[in-house]
Amino acid sequence: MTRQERLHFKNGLLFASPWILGFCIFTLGPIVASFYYSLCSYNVVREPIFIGLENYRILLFEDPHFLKTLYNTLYMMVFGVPLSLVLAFSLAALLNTDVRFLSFFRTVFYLPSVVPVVAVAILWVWILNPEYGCINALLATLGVNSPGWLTDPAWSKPALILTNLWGVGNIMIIFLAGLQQVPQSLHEAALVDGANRLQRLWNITLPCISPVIFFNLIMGVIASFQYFTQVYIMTTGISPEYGGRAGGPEGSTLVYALYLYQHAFQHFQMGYASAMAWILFLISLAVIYVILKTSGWVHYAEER
Amino acid sequence: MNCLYRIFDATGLTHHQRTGLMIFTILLVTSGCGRQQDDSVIRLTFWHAWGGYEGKFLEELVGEFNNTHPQIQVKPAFFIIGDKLMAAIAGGIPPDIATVWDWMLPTMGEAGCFIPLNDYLQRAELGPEDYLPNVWEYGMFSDKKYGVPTALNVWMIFYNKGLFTEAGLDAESPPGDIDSLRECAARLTRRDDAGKLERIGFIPEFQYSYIWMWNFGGDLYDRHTRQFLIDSPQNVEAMNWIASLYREYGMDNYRRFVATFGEYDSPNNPFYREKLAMREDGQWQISFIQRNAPDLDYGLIPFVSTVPNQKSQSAMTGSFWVIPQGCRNADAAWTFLSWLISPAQSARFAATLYNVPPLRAALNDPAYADVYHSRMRIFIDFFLEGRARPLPALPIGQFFYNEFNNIMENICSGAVEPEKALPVLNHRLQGELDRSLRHLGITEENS
Repeated sequence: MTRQERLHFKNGLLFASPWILGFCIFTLGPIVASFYYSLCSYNVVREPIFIGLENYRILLFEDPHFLKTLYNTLYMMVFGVPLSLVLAFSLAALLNTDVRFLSFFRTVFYLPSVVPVVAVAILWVWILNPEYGCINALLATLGVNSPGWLTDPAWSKPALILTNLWGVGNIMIIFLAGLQQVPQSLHEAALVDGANRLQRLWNITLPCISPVIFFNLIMGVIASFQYFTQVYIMTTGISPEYGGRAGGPEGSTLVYALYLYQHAFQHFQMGYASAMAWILFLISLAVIYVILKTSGWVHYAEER
Repeated sequence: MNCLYRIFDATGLTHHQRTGLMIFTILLVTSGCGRQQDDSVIRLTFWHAWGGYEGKFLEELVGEFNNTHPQIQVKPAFFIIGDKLMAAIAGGIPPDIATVWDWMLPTMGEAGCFIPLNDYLQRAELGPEDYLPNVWEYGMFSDKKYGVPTALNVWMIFYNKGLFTEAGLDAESPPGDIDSLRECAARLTRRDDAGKLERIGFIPEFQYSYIWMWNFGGDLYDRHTRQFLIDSPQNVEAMNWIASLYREYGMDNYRRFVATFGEYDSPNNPFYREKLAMREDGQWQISFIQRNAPDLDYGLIPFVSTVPNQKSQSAMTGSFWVIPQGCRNADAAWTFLSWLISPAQSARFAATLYNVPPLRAALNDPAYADVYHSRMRIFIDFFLEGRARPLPALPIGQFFYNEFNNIMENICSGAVEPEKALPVLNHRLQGELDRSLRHLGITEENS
């Protein structure tokens, strides 16, 4: 390294130091600490007591809720993520056409993403009310036997997925940007060759935006592993005086992150919660690895 | 002063600039000293959990304390009891006095969050006999007093007299045993043509099932042997009875019906709106009804017992005042607390809240007389007869609560049988308790 390079390097470090320090103190430090705490009995106030792999053993082999919370989380992911991708893509495709009041429609569909998540959650508690809610009122006029939504263990997860679908605006915007990058020339060439709408969608549009789909898929999967806020608010919000509580009814919405929260901040078992976080990390790592390994369908444009 | 001037001298400023800087510096230093100047006054912060008129009254009480104790100044602040307190204690900047729910007291106490008050209580010559029955043991784990009770609640069955008469029942002689309770409930229940619930006669709420376990002769926990007793035949019987009521209404029907209930502390409370003919509730409901539904004609059933020669029992619930570890001045905090829990203040506070004061002496305080001789009387007698019982004080309070509610909900929905579920619950709780005791270094010998 020449003197000049060393100077540049030092200056570079200096200018990046606010981030480096922040990262080390507020992100890397806690991550390393959480691994140590996962091997301890730790309640935040007292000194941690080292207990080896006890937390992991209990979590994996004794905790009756571990598999159930994992199931709930995977359910939300397996049904929620593809649905939101399809919906966001369809909306983006519609909003990519040449219709009147285009910017108005784009704003309308993006708007829910701007509303604070807590407000949305409380709003949906009302919308999904089995007796007074507008969804069931609508279903009743159609003569459909309306479900109990958040009050029914069989319907509570679909209800939450429905709520999430309302906020696909963010994904939609990314799709929209992707759609606008699809080269018009390819479409024109296909038109000349006599390809119909569906063929063009399948053979041109989808391959061209496959990196965008892939990105949204990965982000969606990560988000569903961390899914917490809506379920915490929506299941606590229903009649707490009558046994309504986070994760209910009958534990049908007790997702992994919510269960982790209960251990960390209600039971004061920070060590156990740390172990849960590391197991969740390993599971998400495995899922992402599988997705990456099977990403043969993603086409990247050749570098120019 | 001179050395200060010399420092500024070296800066090469003009005389005026130097003087200005000096004045500024002196002001800066003395304003910092300002706080230390009256260091004879001890300043404490007090996190309480009462809003509305209750909070206002409590803050007035604190104001009185500040006026009569110029050397200690307490600053009250409202907070919602939750993880915020734990974070403040762990972060080393706790309030000097705080409020916690009863089930959190031993859990957080054993976690090292609070200063034990045993010595203070001893010096104040406060002992078990000064409190109402069962209150000394309330929230106490392994003989440590981590807090003092604020004001007490006890549960009872409220019933709507108008609906009793309407159903052809005698409103003045409410059900006195479990069979007539069930029969009344059936006659008071109303469904529409489609079978949808319009009114429920009576349904025990599953999160308070332990009251029924007691009334069936069972118990939850033996605090001397530290063993859970949840899987006893009496408890199985109690849960079978509760589950059969839920079956009658249908869990799905019931949940949909609950979703129509209005806000608890409002005129839309389902009990006032005749959606529930009988309802388990705490004694504060007396003042809530005065406020929200003054015309409601209601009566009280002190639960019913199925055990021969045993009077019915009910649950004692409430909150505690604590002195967190890291408090700036524990002695001063205790001075404030002991003033606040003294019979004279406690009587006024409990009277405002329509609660029961924990100390016997407060019951006879003139400030409590009006409340004592109101409909509260039956609740107070319940306490005096030792029929109000607390939940077990455990170092795993919230864990107990969550797991208990999970299983009770599953039993009521018919997902599991009490015969199978209660032993599973018992085993899980015992395992967690034993583990927790081991980690806390508490064994049979040194406890």
